[in-house]
Amino acid sequence: MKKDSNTLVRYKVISPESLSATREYLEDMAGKGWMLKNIMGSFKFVFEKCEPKKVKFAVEIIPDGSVYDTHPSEKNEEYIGMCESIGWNYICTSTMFYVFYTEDMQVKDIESDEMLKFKTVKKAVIKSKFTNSIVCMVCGICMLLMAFTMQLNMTEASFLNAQSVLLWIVVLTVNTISISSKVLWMNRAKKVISSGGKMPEKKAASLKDTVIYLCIIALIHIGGALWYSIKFDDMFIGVFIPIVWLMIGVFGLVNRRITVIAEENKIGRNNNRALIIITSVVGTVVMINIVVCVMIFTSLGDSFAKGDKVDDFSEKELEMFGYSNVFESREIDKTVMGRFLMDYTRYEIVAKNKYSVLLDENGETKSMSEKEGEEFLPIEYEWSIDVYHSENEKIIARLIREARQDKTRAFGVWFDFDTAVKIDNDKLNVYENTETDYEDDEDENGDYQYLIYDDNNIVWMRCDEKINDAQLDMIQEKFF
Amino acid sequence: MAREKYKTLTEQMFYILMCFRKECCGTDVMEKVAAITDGRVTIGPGTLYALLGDFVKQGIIRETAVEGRKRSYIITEKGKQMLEEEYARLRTLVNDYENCNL
Repeated sequence: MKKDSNTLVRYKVISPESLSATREYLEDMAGKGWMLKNIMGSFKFVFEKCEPKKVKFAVEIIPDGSVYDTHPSEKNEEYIGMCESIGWNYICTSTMFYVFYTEDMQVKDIESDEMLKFKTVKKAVIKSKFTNSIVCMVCGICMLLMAFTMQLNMTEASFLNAQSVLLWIVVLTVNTISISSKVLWMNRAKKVISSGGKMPEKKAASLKDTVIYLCIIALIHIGGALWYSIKFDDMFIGVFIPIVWLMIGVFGLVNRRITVIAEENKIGRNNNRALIIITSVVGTVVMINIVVCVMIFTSLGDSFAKGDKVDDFSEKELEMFGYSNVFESREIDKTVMGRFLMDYTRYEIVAKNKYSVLLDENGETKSMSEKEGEEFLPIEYEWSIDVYHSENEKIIARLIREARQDKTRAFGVWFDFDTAVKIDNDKLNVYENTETDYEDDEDENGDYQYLIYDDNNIVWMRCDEKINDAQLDMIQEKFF
Repeated sequence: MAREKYKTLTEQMFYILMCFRKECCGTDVMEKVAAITDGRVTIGPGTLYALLGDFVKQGIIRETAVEGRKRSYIITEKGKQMLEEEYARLRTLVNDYENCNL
């Protein structure tokens, strides 16, 4: 990319373990008539047009260098002075890297002790690469553990969770390979240097590889979300995930701009005031990102989930219970739609005052007339009902088992099996419970709660009155 | 810790400490070592800078003055002792070599 005819910008990765590759690249560019002017943020190389010439470059790391350096500290000036005293010309500092050049091919190397050089490089690799990889791996392991333990039902059921698992497996694999290759390189380098050889260097890392890696991660995320939004006609997820990636991009650009400002103003680690400003700005940007993400998750998500035609937000019956299902409601008294993930199906059905609503297995709405409502339950009753359906009997069995153990993710806690009474029924398991936490909540329906299930369905019902046999037959007919 | 780390000084370390018996800066050290060894031993600025930082941290040398980019150092008592010990070790090696009749 050319900024103008005299300036050329190239993007390359500069890594502690492959300094020779950067050095050779710079020498090659000088040979073509492009002399390095500056390296910004350790990957943006700015060249200036010059006469093609044979130049020797040195790309070095200093032991007290930091990834936050944008220019040499007062202490590091001593290092530059010593290098210049033997014939090297200082060009620039980028993070922990120092770049020098000389046209005198006889000038001595900056490093004269291979083991010491290796220790400095090793420290830089650990500081700059291992930390990131280990943070990613710890996050990945935590996410996977969470997916497979705390929310096991979601993992099986939710496409998005499966996507998250895939994403973190990719991240873990890439970072494991990255760390392993560096550890192997360190061991090899130590052996070679101990036997009197020069420190072997790794092949230059390619910016293209990093971009491809990020693209794969983004594609899994965005592609999955778009597929999901098309398949399930859910714009929320389809919009939300790309927004998150857009935020990451914006954050990267903001960070980049801060680095450029810091470089232009020669702000470094030793400038405490500047450091405070930078930290504050970066901290604020991070906070804004977090707040925006939370807002997307809550406010925006809420409005997406509820649909834009809901006039009365006091209708809280459609609140989700933490499962992966996405519900959308319009005019609560006329239409309630539920959408379900994979083979794990949950229906939220609400009836209040004079309306009753019923969903079928395909998520299609069947609005029940008052007459139908009367058949089902007396219309003056307030009641609400949840239905789980799964073709997998093991899932249903587990949900019931968990409900018996008072685990919140199924019907536990809300439905207290310890105080429930089994009602005789030939075809279904029916439990009636009159002493639940719901009783303390005036807003909730349900002096009476029922948990009714067979191998593939669970119906959880809260109502003001006891259900009778006819109503039970109706439930069986509609849901089982 | 420093004792253990610098139990045996490398050739470069030995010459650097030797130069710091008199107050001088890093650039002077590079020139002095080249002159003393007649160019046989060269110390690169990168290596010297790393060692200087470590020596100061370990209390082997101390900073005495800062003048622009130049920083001057002088050996400490601890550094002198280490240098003497290394000298004695090298003397022992030489004596052993000379007196060895096996």
